[in-house]
Order: sequence, then structure tokens, then C-alpha cells
Amino acid sequence: MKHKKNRAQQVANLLDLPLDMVADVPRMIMNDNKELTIENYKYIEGYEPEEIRLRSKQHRITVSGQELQIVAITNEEILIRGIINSLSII
Amino acid sequence: MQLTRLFYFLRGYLVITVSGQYPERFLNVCAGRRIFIWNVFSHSDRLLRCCISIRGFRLLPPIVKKTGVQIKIIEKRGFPIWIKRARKRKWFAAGLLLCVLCTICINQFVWKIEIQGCNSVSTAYIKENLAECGLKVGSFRPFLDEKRIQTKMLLAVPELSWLWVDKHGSKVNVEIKERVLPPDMVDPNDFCHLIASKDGVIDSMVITSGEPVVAPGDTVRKGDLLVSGLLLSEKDVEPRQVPSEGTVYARVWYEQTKAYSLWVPNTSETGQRVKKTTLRLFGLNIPLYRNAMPNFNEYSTLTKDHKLNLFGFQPGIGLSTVTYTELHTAYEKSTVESVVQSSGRELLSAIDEMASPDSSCTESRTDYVIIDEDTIEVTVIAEYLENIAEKVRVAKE
Repeated sequence: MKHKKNRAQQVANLLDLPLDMVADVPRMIMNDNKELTIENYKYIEGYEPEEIRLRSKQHRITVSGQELQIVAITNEEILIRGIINSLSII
Repeated sequence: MQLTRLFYFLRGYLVITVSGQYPERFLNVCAGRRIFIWNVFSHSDRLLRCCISIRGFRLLPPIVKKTGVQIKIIEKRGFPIWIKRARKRKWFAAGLLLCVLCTICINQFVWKIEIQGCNSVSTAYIKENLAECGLKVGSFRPFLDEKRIQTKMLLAVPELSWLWVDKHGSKVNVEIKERVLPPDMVDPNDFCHLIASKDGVIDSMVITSGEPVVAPGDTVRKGDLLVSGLLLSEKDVEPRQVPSEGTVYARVWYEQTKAYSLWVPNTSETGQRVKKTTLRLFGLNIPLYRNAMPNFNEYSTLTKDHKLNLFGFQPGIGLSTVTYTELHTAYEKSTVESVVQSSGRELLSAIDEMASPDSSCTESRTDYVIIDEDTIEVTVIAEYLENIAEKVRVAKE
């Protein structure tokens, strides 16, 4: 299989920089299993109390849990609170 | 984000429900158009509940049309909404106004006077004079003329050289500087001797003016001449009459004797306590108890004052609690040594009060005589080193 590397990723690797500084990739900060902040997401695909599906530039992010709540939402950042059981990036 | 939400609380916000086929799309479009939305709950599959600012809500109609959702206002929240509701409650507004007026009114009186800079002059004396000049607890603040008080005080109290009155809300700070009194002037034409004020043995002498009559090691009696102001000359010149000056340190002995009982009282608390609280309201004392004293034969009292302090502002309200603790005294026979030790200290402190303030104790001895099986007589002899020179003016011949 031909392995294609993103140009931004190549620059980050070359200059030893964090990927989120050079590439428009989602950045996730999770505090325990209670709070999750996702930056650089694109849009919400679906919202239910047990599952929140988000779309980033390259991936589909699924947050599963219980009593999930979108505490704040802006065009760049989303803050989710609740009991987070799993986070999948496909 | 909490700060943003606080900002929206101050500006006012709405709690809305969004229902439709794709309520998530509504959220995406709002985020894209920079309309801040928070506290989003998903109630069911197609129903969301969220918070939005009033300004953001006004921008919603085209978004609603585009996304095909239905919006319903559930609740209006925030500071402007609260103010709008409060405006309708006239009695509440009147109460609030009355409260503000009372606070302003109370603030117009002096409730505390703080005096700084008192060293030799007592604070009570300054307070007494300030009251006579028109500044006391309860004075009406707008009528206080600081300059007039300063002038009157400086004229009334000769011990002061400077005074500053500063009003800080209901508190008045008074700063004082005491006058340093000039030393007594020595008249060169004066004629005086130095005599002994007490019996003693001369230890050392420093004579700046006059002719010493005694020398270190001499024993002198009270009233003996120490330094003469009459300067005699060996030559045939008239004797000079000068004011004698100097210090004559002598060893002075003091003796104190007192009979003591060996039965020493031992006071202990019985555990019975009675508290009496008084409400202090703008200088008035309102008792919050029945007017009977506690039924104790022996008791000690402890007074505690609590003043209401609102962010540094004292509105003159406070509580004063007096605690009466019952005491029981039992007499126990003590050993001779312990009675001699405690009475020796007591007698020595009594001697210390008799000696002049600039003197120092060099030696002390405690003796005792047993009078009977319950009484002893304790004697303390203390040696002090003190200036015994006393100036006596003599009429010039």
C-alpha cells in the first residue's frame, strides 16, 4: 500500500513541532471521563444524550456515554460534559 | 467560557427549545454565524433545549427558515429581566430604597474615633477634650469642622503640638503629636546646694557645678549636705555663690516586713456560668436579659464586645456579652518555703514602687520568723543604687 503523508505532518515531523500548530487537525482535551473539549471540529452530525457524533476535516469523532451535554459551542470549539464511556476516531 | 456566560447573564439571555428534523444543523449554523449557544441538552431525538443571548435570538429568523426547525422560548433569565420584574414590585423597590436611605443616613454619623500618637497623654483625656470640642461618637458628620476642632484642641490641650482630624466614612481618625517640653532653665545667678534625699552610702558622684562635701564611701543621712554651692577660694577673694549641679549615686537600703498566714486561698471554677448579652445600638445599651444578677457568692467577670463591621464600615451596632463564672475558694496549708518565696516577691515589688524610677536593685535578701504554727513574718531587705541628690535653693547673701 502506498503510504501518503500529509505535507503539514511532514513539516511538523521535520521541524519537531506539535502537529496542531501546523496542521488543521482536531485537538482534544479530556478531563477524567467528565469533560471533553474538542477544537478544530467542523460540524455536529448528530446529538443524543448517549452519543454525540462530530465531523472533523479528516475523521468522524464519536463520543459515547451517559447524560451528555454540550456546555458551549462555537464555530471552532465544543465543550462536552457528562459521563464519557468511549471516544472513537474513525 | 464561564466569563462569557457571566457577560451574557448581565446582558440577559433566553432558554429556548429547538425542535425539528435536524436540530443539530441549527447548532452548526449558529456556530458558523458566531451566535454563542450554551447549555445544550438533548431531551429526545428531535428536541434540544439550549440558552441563547437576546441579541443572538434576534438573528435567528433566517437560520430557523434555513434549517426548518421550530423555536419556543421557555424562560427569560439574566440581570435585565430581573430588574424588569423588580420594577413591577413597588413595595420591594420602596424597601430597597428605604434600606439605601437608612444606610446613607447612618453613614452621616460618627461611630468610631481612633486616636493615634498617644504616648504620655492618655487616650481617654484626648477623647474627653475632643467631646468638648464637638467630636464624639454620634456626632453629625456634615457639621464637623476639622479645622475648628484642630484649633480648639490645640488651645485646650497644652500637651499637644500638632493634631490632624481625618474623616473616613463613619470613622474619624485623629492623629496627634505630643509637645516635647523644654528642659528647666538654669539661672546662672541662682544659688543652691545639693542635699541627700535618703539615707545611704555614696557610691559615685558626677558634679558639674559646686563643691563636693562628701566622697564615695561616705555614709550620709537624709538632709545632709552633699554638694555646696558656695565656692571658697584660698586667695583673699570673696566666695562665689553658684547653682550646684550633678548626680550623686548612693546605695540605699529598703526594708519591708509583713506577717503572712500559711493558709493560702486556692480559687477554682465550679463550672457554673451565666451569660448576659447587651445590644449596643447607636450609643444605647439595650439589655437582652432579665435584670437579676447571678446568684453566686464569688464570681469573676469577662466582657467581650462584638462590633458589626460591614466592609470596614461600622454602623454603630454591636453586642456586649458579660460572662459570670462562679468561683469557689478553698484554704490549703502551704509550706513555709513557698509562702516565703511568694511573699518575698510581693514585698520586693512593693519596695520597687517606693524606690525612684531611675534606680536599680543590686541586691535583695529575704528572712522570716515563725510566729506561730499558722503565721510567719517575712522581711525583705533590698539594696538599690539611686541618685539621692536633691536641689535646695538658698537665698543669696
